[in-house]
Amino acid sequence: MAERSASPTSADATMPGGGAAGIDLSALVVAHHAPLYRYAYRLCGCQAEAEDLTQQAFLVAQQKLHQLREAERAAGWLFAVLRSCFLKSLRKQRPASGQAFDIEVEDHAVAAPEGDDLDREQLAAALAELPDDYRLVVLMFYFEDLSYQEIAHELEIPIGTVMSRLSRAKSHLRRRLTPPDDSPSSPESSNVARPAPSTEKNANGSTKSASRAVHQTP
Amino acid sequence: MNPVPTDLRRQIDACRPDSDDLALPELADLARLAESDRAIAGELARSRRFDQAVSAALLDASVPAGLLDRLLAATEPKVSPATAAVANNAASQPRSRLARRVAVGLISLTTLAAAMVGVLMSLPQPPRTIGQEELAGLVEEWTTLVNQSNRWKPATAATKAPAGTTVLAKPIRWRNFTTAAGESGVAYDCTPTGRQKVLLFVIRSPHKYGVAPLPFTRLRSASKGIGIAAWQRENMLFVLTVDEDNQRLDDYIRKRPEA
Repeated sequence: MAERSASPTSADATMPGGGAAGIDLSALVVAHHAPLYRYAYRLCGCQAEAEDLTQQAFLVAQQKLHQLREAERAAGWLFAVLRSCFLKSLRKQRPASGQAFDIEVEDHAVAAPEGDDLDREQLAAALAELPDDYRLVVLMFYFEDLSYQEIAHELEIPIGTVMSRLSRAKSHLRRRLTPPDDSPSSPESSNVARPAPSTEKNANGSTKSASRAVHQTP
Repeated sequence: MNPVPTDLRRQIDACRPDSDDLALPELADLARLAESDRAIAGELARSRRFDQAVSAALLDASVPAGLLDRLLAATEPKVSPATAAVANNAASQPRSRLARRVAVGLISLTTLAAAMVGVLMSLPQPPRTIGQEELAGLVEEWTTLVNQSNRWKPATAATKAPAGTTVLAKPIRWRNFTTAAGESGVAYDCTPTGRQKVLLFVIRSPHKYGVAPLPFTRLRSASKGIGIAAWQRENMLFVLTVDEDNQRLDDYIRKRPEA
Protein backbone atom coordinates (compact mmCIF):
# COMPACT_ATOMS: atom_id res chain seq x y z
CA MET A 1 0.00 0.00 0.00
CA ALA A 2 1.10 3.52 -0.60
CA GLU A 3 1.45 4.17 3.09
CA ARG A 4 4.04 1.49 3.34
CA SER A 5 6.00 2.10 0.21
CA ALA A 6 5.91 5.86 0.53
CA SER A 7 6.40 6.00 4.24
CA PRO A 8 9.09 8.49 5.14
CA THR A 9 12.32 6.68 5.65
CA SER A 10 13.89 8.91 8.20
CA ALA A 11 14.41 5.62 9.94
CA ASP A 12 17.07 5.25 7.30
CA ALA A 13 18.98 7.84 9.24
CA THR A 14 21.19 5.65 11.29
CA MET A 15 22.39 6.80 14.63
CA PRO A 16 24.92 5.35 17.00
CA GLY A 17 23.61 3.32 19.89
CA GLY A 18 20.61 1.98 18.05
CA GLY A 19 19.66 -1.45 16.71
CA ALA A 20 21.68 -3.91 14.71
CA ALA A 21 21.55 -1.62 11.70
CA GLY A 22 22.45 1.37 13.87
CA ILE A 23 18.81 2.43 13.89
CA ASP A 24 17.68 4.74 16.64
CA LEU A 25 14.25 4.09 18.11
CA SER A 26 13.38 7.77 18.34
CA ALA A 27 13.97 8.04 14.60
CA LEU A 28 11.59 5.14 14.09
CA VAL A 29 8.99 6.77 16.31
CA VAL A 30 9.20 10.06 14.44
CA ALA A 31 9.06 8.43 11.02
CA HIS A 32 6.47 5.73 11.63
CA HIS A 33 4.21 6.81 14.48
CA ALA A 34 1.51 8.14 12.16
CA PRO A 35 1.07 5.07 9.93
CA LEU A 36 1.35 2.81 12.95
CA TYR A 37 -1.30 4.75 14.82
CA ARG A 38 -3.60 4.61 11.79
CA TYR A 39 -3.14 0.86 11.52
CA ALA A 40 -3.85 0.51 15.24
CA TYR A 41 -6.88 2.76 14.95
CA ARG A 42 -8.32 0.69 12.12
CA LEU A 43 -7.67 -2.52 14.04
CA CYS A 44 -9.19 -1.27 17.32
CA GLY A 45 -11.68 1.27 16.05
CA CYS A 46 -11.01 3.39 19.11
CA GLN A 47 -8.59 6.27 19.56
CA ALA A 48 -7.59 5.50 23.14
CA GLU A 49 -7.00 1.82 22.44
CA ALA A 50 -5.10 2.70 19.27
CA GLU A 51 -2.80 5.04 21.21
CA ASP A 52 -2.14 2.33 23.78
CA LEU A 53 -1.50 -0.24 21.08
CA THR A 54 0.87 2.08 19.23
CA GLN A 55 2.82 2.77 22.40
CA GLN A 56 2.91 -0.92 23.23
CA ALA A 57 4.25 -1.67 19.77
CA PHE A 58 7.07 0.85 20.10
CA LEU A 59 7.96 -0.47 23.58
CA VAL A 60 8.19 -3.99 22.18
CA ALA A 61 10.17 -2.65 19.23
CA GLN A 62 12.55 -1.03 21.70
CA GLN A 63 13.23 -4.39 23.30
CA LYS A 64 13.65 -6.17 19.97
CA LEU A 65 15.41 -3.45 18.04
CA HIS A 66 18.43 -5.69 17.57
CA GLN A 67 16.26 -7.90 15.34
CA LEU A 68 15.88 -5.14 12.80
CA ARG A 69 18.76 -5.60 10.39
CA GLU A 70 17.80 -3.26 7.59
CA ALA A 71 16.37 0.20 8.04
CA GLU A 72 14.45 -0.15 4.78
CA ARG A 73 12.35 -2.86 6.39
CA ALA A 74 11.48 -0.85 9.46
CA ALA A 75 7.92 -0.06 8.35
CA GLY A 76 7.00 -3.68 7.69
CA TRP A 77 8.72 -4.82 10.86
CA LEU A 78 6.87 -2.27 12.99
CA PHE A 79 3.54 -3.21 11.41
CA ALA A 80 4.25 -6.84 12.30
CA VAL A 81 5.15 -5.90 15.88
CA LEU A 82 1.95 -3.90 16.23
CA ARG A 83 -0.09 -6.75 14.76
CA SER A 84 1.47 -9.15 17.22
CA CYS A 85 0.55 -6.84 20.11
CA PHE A 86 -2.99 -6.62 18.78
CA LEU A 87 -3.31 -10.40 18.57
CA LYS A 88 -2.01 -10.76 22.11
CA SER A 89 -4.59 -8.30 23.38
CA LEU A 90 -7.29 -10.20 21.49
CA ARG A 91 -6.28 -13.48 23.08
CA LYS A 92 -6.64 -11.90 26.50
CA GLN A 93 -10.12 -10.62 25.72
CA ARG A 94 -11.46 -13.51 23.65
CA PRO A 95 -13.68 -16.10 25.31
CA ALA A 96 -12.18 -19.56 25.37
CA SER A 97 -15.05 -20.94 23.30
CA GLY A 98 -14.05 -18.86 20.29
CA GLN A 99 -16.33 -16.90 18.04
CA ALA A 100 -18.92 -18.01 15.58
CA PHE A 101 -20.37 -15.54 13.15
CA ASP A 102 -22.28 -15.18 9.97
CA ILE A 103 -21.15 -13.03 7.15
CA GLU A 104 -22.87 -11.93 4.02
CA VAL A 105 -21.49 -13.09 0.70
CA GLU A 106 -24.55 -12.44 -1.37
CA ASP A 107 -23.60 -8.93 -2.32
CA HIS A 108 -21.50 -9.44 -5.38
CA ALA A 109 -24.00 -7.58 -7.48
CA VAL A 110 -23.09 -4.36 -5.71
CA ALA A 111 -21.08 -1.99 -7.80
CA ALA A 112 -17.85 -0.99 -6.14
CA PRO A 113 -17.68 2.76 -5.62
CA GLU A 114 -15.49 4.51 -8.11
CA GLY A 115 -12.67 6.77 -7.11
CA ASP A 116 -11.68 7.97 -3.69
CA ASP A 117 -15.20 8.89 -2.66
CA LEU A 118 -15.78 6.49 0.20
CA ASP A 119 -17.66 7.66 3.22
CA ARG A 120 -15.11 7.57 6.06
CA GLU A 121 -17.66 7.03 8.79
CA GLN A 122 -19.32 4.24 6.85
CA LEU A 123 -15.93 2.65 6.33
CA ALA A 124 -15.16 2.76 10.05
CA ALA A 125 -18.57 1.31 10.83
CA ALA A 126 -18.19 -1.43 8.24
CA LEU A 127 -14.78 -2.37 9.62
CA ALA A 128 -16.16 -2.45 13.15
CA GLU A 129 -18.87 -4.88 12.04
CA LEU A 130 -16.32 -7.36 10.79
CA PRO A 131 -15.22 -10.12 13.13
CA ASP A 132 -11.67 -9.60 14.41
CA ASP A 133 -10.23 -12.41 12.25
CA TYR A 134 -11.71 -10.93 9.11
CA ARG A 135 -10.77 -7.35 9.98
CA LEU A 136 -7.20 -8.39 10.65
CA VAL A 137 -6.87 -10.15 7.30
CA VAL A 138 -8.34 -7.31 5.31
CA LEU A 139 -6.20 -4.72 7.10
CA MET A 140 -3.06 -6.80 6.56
CA PHE A 141 -3.99 -6.74 2.88
CA TYR A 142 -4.60 -3.00 2.76
CA PHE A 143 -2.19 -1.62 5.37
CA GLU A 144 0.73 -4.01 5.24
CA ASP A 145 0.36 -4.64 1.52
CA LEU A 146 0.80 -8.36 2.10
CA SER A 147 -0.27 -10.95 -0.45
CA TYR A 148 -2.72 -13.65 0.56
CA GLN A 149 0.24 -16.06 0.69
CA GLU A 150 2.15 -13.78 3.07
CA ILE A 151 -0.93 -13.29 5.24
CA ALA A 152 -1.39 -17.06 5.46
CA HIS A 153 2.25 -17.46 6.42
CA GLU A 154 2.13 -14.72 9.05
CA LEU A 155 -1.08 -15.95 10.65
CA GLU A 156 -0.25 -19.63 10.16
CA ILE A 157 -3.58 -20.42 8.56
CA PRO A 158 -4.38 -22.06 5.20
CA ILE A 159 -4.27 -19.97 2.03
CA GLY A 160 -7.86 -20.90 1.26
CA THR A 161 -8.98 -19.51 4.60
CA VAL A 162 -7.22 -16.23 3.91
CA MET A 163 -8.77 -15.94 0.44
CA SER A 164 -12.19 -16.72 1.82
CA ARG A 165 -11.95 -14.20 4.66
CA LEU A 166 -10.53 -11.57 2.35
CA SER A 167 -13.32 -12.01 -0.17
CA ARG A 168 -16.08 -12.01 2.43
CA ALA A 169 -14.64 -9.01 4.23
CA LYS A 170 -14.33 -7.09 0.99
CA SER A 171 -17.84 -8.09 0.00
CA HIS A 172 -19.08 -6.66 3.25
CA LEU A 173 -17.15 -3.42 2.71
CA ARG A 174 -18.47 -3.11 -0.85
CA ARG A 175 -22.02 -3.63 0.30
CA ARG A 176 -21.76 -1.15 3.17
CA LEU A 177 -19.91 1.49 1.19
CA THR A 178 -22.03 1.42 -1.89
CA PRO A 179 -25.28 3.31 -2.08
CA PRO A 180 -28.24 1.07 -2.93
CA ASP A 181 -28.73 0.85 -6.64
CA ASP A 182 -31.30 -1.51 -8.06
CA SER A 183 -30.84 -0.21 -11.54
CA PRO A 184 -30.62 -3.13 -13.93
CA SER A 185 -28.33 -1.10 -16.13
CA SER A 186 -25.64 -1.06 -13.45
CA PRO A 187 -22.72 -2.63 -15.27
CA GLU A 188 -21.59 -4.63 -12.30
CA SER A 189 -24.99 -5.83 -11.30
CA SER A 190 -25.31 -7.72 -14.54
CA ASN A 191 -21.85 -9.03 -14.31
CA VAL A 192 -21.37 -10.70 -11.01
CA ALA A 193 -22.51 -13.73 -9.18
CA ARG A 194 -25.00 -14.22 -6.42
CA PRO A 195 -23.52 -17.36 -4.97
CA ALA A 196 -25.49 -19.60 -2.75
CA PRO A 197 -24.84 -19.22 0.97
CA SER A 198 -21.56 -20.86 1.71
CA THR A 199 -19.78 -22.10 4.76
CA GLU A 200 -16.24 -21.86 6.02
CA LYS A 201 -14.55 -23.72 8.79
CA ASN A 202 -12.55 -21.52 11.05
CA ALA A 203 -9.35 -22.34 12.86
CA ASN A 204 -11.29 -23.69 15.82
CA GLY A 205 -13.24 -26.06 13.63
CA SER A 206 -16.54 -24.27 14.03
CA THR A 207 -18.59 -23.56 10.94
CA LYS A 208 -19.53 -20.12 9.72
CA SER A 209 -22.62 -19.84 7.60
CA ALA A 210 -23.46 -17.09 5.21
CA SER A 211 -26.50 -15.00 5.87
CA ARG A 212 -27.67 -11.46 5.48
CA ALA A 213 -26.22 -9.85 8.54
CA VAL A 214 -22.72 -9.69 9.94
CA HIS A 215 -22.74 -10.32 13.61
CA GLN A 216 -20.80 -12.07 16.31
CA THR A 217 -22.02 -14.47 18.89
CA PRO A 218 -19.95 -15.77 21.76
CA MET B 1 -23.87 -11.72 -19.05
CA ASN B 2 -22.17 -14.54 -17.21
CA PRO B 3 -21.81 -14.24 -13.45
CA VAL B 4 -18.45 -14.42 -11.73
CA PRO B 5 -18.16 -17.75 -9.93
CA THR B 6 -17.34 -17.64 -6.24
CA ASP B 7 -13.88 -19.11 -6.71
CA LEU B 8 -13.05 -16.47 -9.27
CA ARG B 9 -14.48 -13.77 -7.01
CA ARG B 10 -12.09 -14.89 -4.29
CA GLN B 11 -9.20 -14.74 -6.71
CA ILE B 12 -10.17 -11.24 -7.78
CA ASP B 13 -10.41 -10.13 -4.17
CA ALA B 14 -7.03 -11.67 -3.35
CA CYS B 15 -5.26 -9.74 -6.10
CA ARG B 16 -3.54 -6.59 -4.89
CA PRO B 17 -3.54 -3.49 -7.08
CA ASP B 18 -0.17 -2.56 -8.57
CA SER B 19 1.21 -6.00 -7.89
CA ASP B 20 2.24 -9.07 -9.85
CA ASP B 21 -0.12 -11.26 -7.87
CA LEU B 22 -1.60 -12.64 -11.08
CA ALA B 23 1.57 -14.68 -11.39
CA LEU B 24 0.78 -16.52 -8.15
CA PRO B 25 -0.34 -20.13 -8.60
CA GLU B 26 -3.71 -19.77 -6.87
CA LEU B 27 -4.64 -16.96 -9.27
CA ALA B 28 -3.78 -18.84 -12.46
CA ASP B 29 -7.42 -19.11 -13.55
CA LEU B 30 -7.94 -15.41 -13.05
CA ALA B 31 -4.76 -14.53 -14.95
CA ARG B 32 -5.89 -16.61 -17.90
CA LEU B 33 -9.45 -15.29 -17.93
CA ALA B 34 -8.39 -11.67 -17.44
CA GLU B 35 -6.68 -11.88 -20.82
CA SER B 36 -9.49 -13.58 -22.68
CA ASP B 37 -12.67 -12.42 -20.97
CA ARG B 38 -13.47 -8.70 -21.06
CA ALA B 39 -16.07 -9.01 -18.31
CA ILE B 40 -13.56 -10.59 -15.95
CA ALA B 41 -10.91 -8.03 -16.89
CA GLY B 42 -13.42 -5.26 -16.14
CA GLU B 43 -14.36 -6.81 -12.83
CA LEU B 44 -10.69 -7.09 -11.88
CA ALA B 45 -10.12 -3.44 -12.79
CA ARG B 46 -13.15 -2.38 -10.71
CA SER B 47 -11.90 -4.39 -7.77
CA ARG B 48 -8.50 -2.74 -7.99
CA ARG B 49 -10.05 0.71 -8.08
CA PHE B 50 -12.10 -0.19 -5.04
CA ASP B 51 -8.96 -1.39 -3.25
CA GLN B 52 -7.18 1.86 -4.04
CA ALA B 53 -10.12 3.87 -2.73
CA VAL B 54 -10.30 1.84 0.48
CA SER B 55 -6.54 2.13 0.99
CA ALA B 56 -6.72 5.89 0.66
CA ALA B 57 -9.72 6.13 2.98
CA LEU B 58 -8.05 3.95 5.61
CA LEU B 59 -5.14 6.36 5.73
CA ASP B 60 -7.49 9.26 6.26
CA ALA B 61 -7.39 9.18 10.05
CA SER B 62 -5.93 12.09 11.97
CA VAL B 63 -3.18 11.40 14.46
CA PRO B 64 -4.03 12.67 17.97
CA ALA B 65 -2.25 15.85 18.99
CA GLY B 66 0.76 15.22 21.17
CA LEU B 67 0.96 11.51 20.35
CA LEU B 68 4.49 11.82 18.99
CA ASP B 69 5.70 13.54 22.15
CA ARG B 70 4.03 10.94 24.34
CA LEU B 71 5.58 8.11 22.35
CA LEU B 72 9.02 9.70 22.45
CA ALA B 73 8.70 10.22 26.21
CA ALA B 74 7.57 6.63 26.72
CA THR B 75 10.44 5.19 24.73
CA GLU B 76 13.26 7.46 25.76
CA PRO B 77 16.28 5.51 27.03
CA LYS B 78 16.16 4.86 30.74
CA VAL B 79 18.90 3.88 33.18
CA SER B 80 18.98 0.09 33.23
CA PRO B 81 18.01 -1.58 36.53
CA ALA B 82 21.48 -3.10 36.78
CA THR B 83 23.20 0.27 36.51
CA ALA B 84 20.75 1.81 38.95
CA ALA B 85 21.38 -0.99 41.44
CA VAL B 86 25.13 -0.48 41.23
CA ALA B 87 24.73 3.25 41.72
CA ASN B 88 22.40 2.76 44.69
CA ASN B 89 24.77 0.25 46.20
CA ALA B 90 27.68 2.64 45.88
CA ALA B 91 25.75 5.40 47.60
CA SER B 92 24.41 3.35 50.47
CA GLN B 93 27.60 1.43 51.35
CA PRO B 94 30.48 3.85 50.94
CA ARG B 95 32.65 1.93 53.38
CA SER B 96 32.74 -1.13 51.21
CA ARG B 97 35.90 -1.35 49.12
CA LEU B 98 33.96 -2.61 46.13
CA ALA B 99 31.39 0.12 46.54
CA ARG B 100 34.11 2.76 46.74
CA ARG B 101 35.67 1.46 43.54
CA VAL B 102 32.30 1.50 41.82
CA ALA B 103 31.61 5.02 43.08
CA VAL B 104 35.00 6.26 41.90
CA GLY B 105 34.46 4.57 38.55
CA LEU B 106 31.04 6.14 38.13
CA ILE B 107 32.36 9.59 39.04
CA SER B 108 35.21 9.20 36.56
CA LEU B 109 32.81 8.09 33.88
CA THR B 110 30.49 11.01 34.62
CA THR B 111 33.38 13.48 34.41
CA LEU B 112 34.58 11.94 31.17
CA ALA B 113 31.06 12.01 29.75
CA ALA B 114 30.65 15.67 30.70
CA ALA B 115 33.95 16.52 29.02
CA MET B 116 32.92 14.64 25.89
CA VAL B 117 29.59 16.45 25.79
CA GLY B 118 31.46 19.76 25.96
CA VAL B 119 33.70 18.76 23.07
CA LEU B 120 30.79 17.46 21.02
CA MET B 121 28.77 20.64 21.56
CA SER B 122 31.60 22.67 20.10
CA LEU B 123 31.57 20.57 16.91
CA PRO B 124 29.13 21.04 14.00
CA GLN B 125 25.81 19.35 14.72
CA PRO B 126 25.47 15.89 13.16
CA PRO B 127 22.30 15.05 11.28
CA ARG B 128 19.46 14.39 13.66
CA THR B 129 15.76 13.72 13.56
CA ILE B 130 13.47 16.64 14.31
CA GLY B 131 9.86 16.08 15.30
CA GLN B 132 6.85 18.02 14.09
CA GLU B 133 6.35 20.01 17.26
CA GLU B 134 9.96 21.17 17.25
CA LEU B 135 9.69 22.05 13.59
CA ALA B 136 6.56 24.11 14.26
CA GLY B 137 8.57 26.07 16.84
CA LEU B 138 11.43 26.55 14.39
CA VAL B 139 9.04 27.87 11.75
CA GLU B 140 7.97 30.61 14.14
CA GLU B 141 11.62 31.51 14.70
CA TRP B 142 12.26 31.64 10.95
CA THR B 143 9.19 33.78 10.39
CA THR B 144 10.41 36.27 12.99
CA LEU B 145 13.94 36.12 11.59
CA VAL B 146 13.06 36.90 7.98
CA ASN B 147 10.78 39.74 9.01
CA GLN B 148 13.31 41.35 11.37
CA SER B 149 15.30 43.15 8.69
CA ASN B 150 14.28 44.40 5.33
CA ARG B 151 16.51 42.27 3.15
CA TRP B 152 13.74 41.24 0.84
CA LYS B 153 14.41 41.48 -2.86
CA PRO B 154 11.57 42.01 -5.27
CA ALA B 155 10.64 39.03 -7.34
CA THR B 156 11.04 39.33 -11.08
CA ALA B 157 9.21 37.47 -13.76
CA ALA B 158 11.98 34.89 -13.57
CA THR B 159 11.64 34.39 -9.83
CA LYS B 160 10.01 31.09 -9.10
CA ALA B 161 9.81 28.85 -6.13
CA PRO B 162 11.87 25.70 -6.69
CA ALA B 163 10.32 23.17 -9.03
CA GLY B 164 8.07 20.65 -7.41
CA THR B 165 7.11 22.75 -4.43
CA THR B 166 3.51 22.49 -5.63
CA VAL B 167 2.78 25.88 -4.07
CA LEU B 168 0.15 27.63 -6.10
CA ALA B 169 0.94 31.21 -5.04
CA LYS B 170 3.47 33.29 -6.97
CA PRO B 171 6.40 34.84 -5.08
CA ILE B 172 6.35 38.63 -4.88
CA ARG B 173 9.70 38.95 -3.07
CA TRP B 174 12.39 36.72 -1.65
CA ARG B 175 15.42 36.73 0.61
CA ASN B 176 18.21 34.44 1.80
CA PHE B 177 18.57 33.58 5.45
CA THR B 178 20.45 31.21 7.73
CA THR B 179 18.76 29.31 10.50
CA ALA B 180 20.09 29.18 14.05
CA ALA B 181 21.31 25.66 13.29
CA GLY B 182 23.34 26.96 10.35
CA GLU B 183 21.08 25.69 7.58
CA SER B 184 20.86 27.89 4.51
CA GLY B 185 17.45 28.79 3.25
CA VAL B 186 15.39 31.03 1.03
CA ALA B 187 12.14 32.63 2.12
CA TYR B 188 9.58 33.49 -0.54
CA ASP B 189 6.83 35.96 0.26
CA CYS B 190 3.90 34.68 -1.77
CA THR B 191 1.24 36.94 -0.27
CA PRO B 192 -1.36 37.65 -2.95
CA THR B 193 -2.47 41.26 -3.40
CA GLY B 194 -4.98 42.27 -0.78
CA ARG B 195 -4.64 39.00 1.14
CA GLN B 196 -2.96 37.95 4.35
CA LYS B 197 0.56 36.62 4.74
CA VAL B 198 1.74 33.55 2.82
CA LEU B 199 5.38 32.51 3.25
CA LEU B 200 7.30 29.65 1.72
CA PHE B 201 10.58 28.51 3.28
CA VAL B 202 12.91 26.28 1.29
CA ILE B 203 15.78 25.07 3.43
CA ARG B 204 18.71 22.85 2.63
CA SER B 205 19.23 20.71 5.71
CA PRO B 206 21.19 17.62 6.70
CA HIS B 207 18.55 16.87 9.32
CA LYS B 208 15.60 14.52 8.95
CA TYR B 209 12.34 16.22 9.77
CA GLY B 210 9.37 14.13 10.79
CA VAL B 211 7.25 15.13 7.85
CA ALA B 212 6.07 13.43 4.68
CA PRO B 213 8.24 13.31 1.54
CA LEU B 214 5.30 14.60 -0.50
CA PRO B 215 3.03 17.55 0.20
CA PHE B 216 2.10 17.73 2.88
CA THR B 217 2.19 17.21 6.63
CA ARG B 218 0.10 19.74 8.53
CA LEU B 219 1.82 21.05 11.64
CA ARG B 220 0.22 22.55 14.70
CA SER B 221 1.29 26.13 15.08
CA ALA B 222 1.58 27.71 18.49
CA SER B 223 0.17 30.87 16.94
CA LYS B 224 -3.56 30.81 16.50
CA GLY B 225 -4.74 31.16 12.94
CA ILE B 226 -1.45 30.20 11.29
CA GLY B 227 -1.53 27.13 9.07
CA ILE B 228 1.75 25.30 8.50
CA ALA B 229 2.39 22.65 5.87
CA ALA B 230 5.75 20.92 5.58
CA TRP B 231 7.36 18.19 3.58
CA GLN B 232 10.92 17.08 2.96
CA ARG B 233 12.38 15.70 -0.21
CA GLU B 234 15.87 14.35 0.44
CA ASN B 235 17.82 17.25 1.95
CA MET B 236 15.35 19.97 0.95
CA LEU B 237 12.74 20.99 3.48
CA PHE B 238 9.68 22.90 2.27
CA VAL B 239 7.48 24.80 4.70
CA LEU B 240 4.45 26.89 3.75
CA THR B 241 2.84 29.15 6.33
CA VAL B 242 -0.50 30.78 5.73
CA ASP B 243 -2.41 33.23 7.87
CA GLU B 244 -5.69 31.37 7.98
CA ASP B 245 -7.91 34.13 9.29
CA ASN B 246 -9.76 34.36 6.03
CA GLN B 247 -7.94 31.96 3.78
CA ARG B 248 -6.99 28.29 3.90
CA LEU B 249 -3.71 26.43 3.64
CA ASP B 250 -5.29 24.09 1.09
CA ASP B 251 -5.93 27.04 -1.22
CA TYR B 252 -2.22 27.45 -1.78
CA ILE B 253 -0.89 23.97 -2.12
CA ARG B 254 -1.33 21.09 -4.46
CA LYS B 255 -1.33 17.83 -2.53
CA ARG B 256 0.61 15.91 -5.14
CA PRO B 257 3.70 17.05 -7.01
CA GLU B 258 3.53 17.70 -10.67
CA ALA B 259 4.42 14.76 -12.84
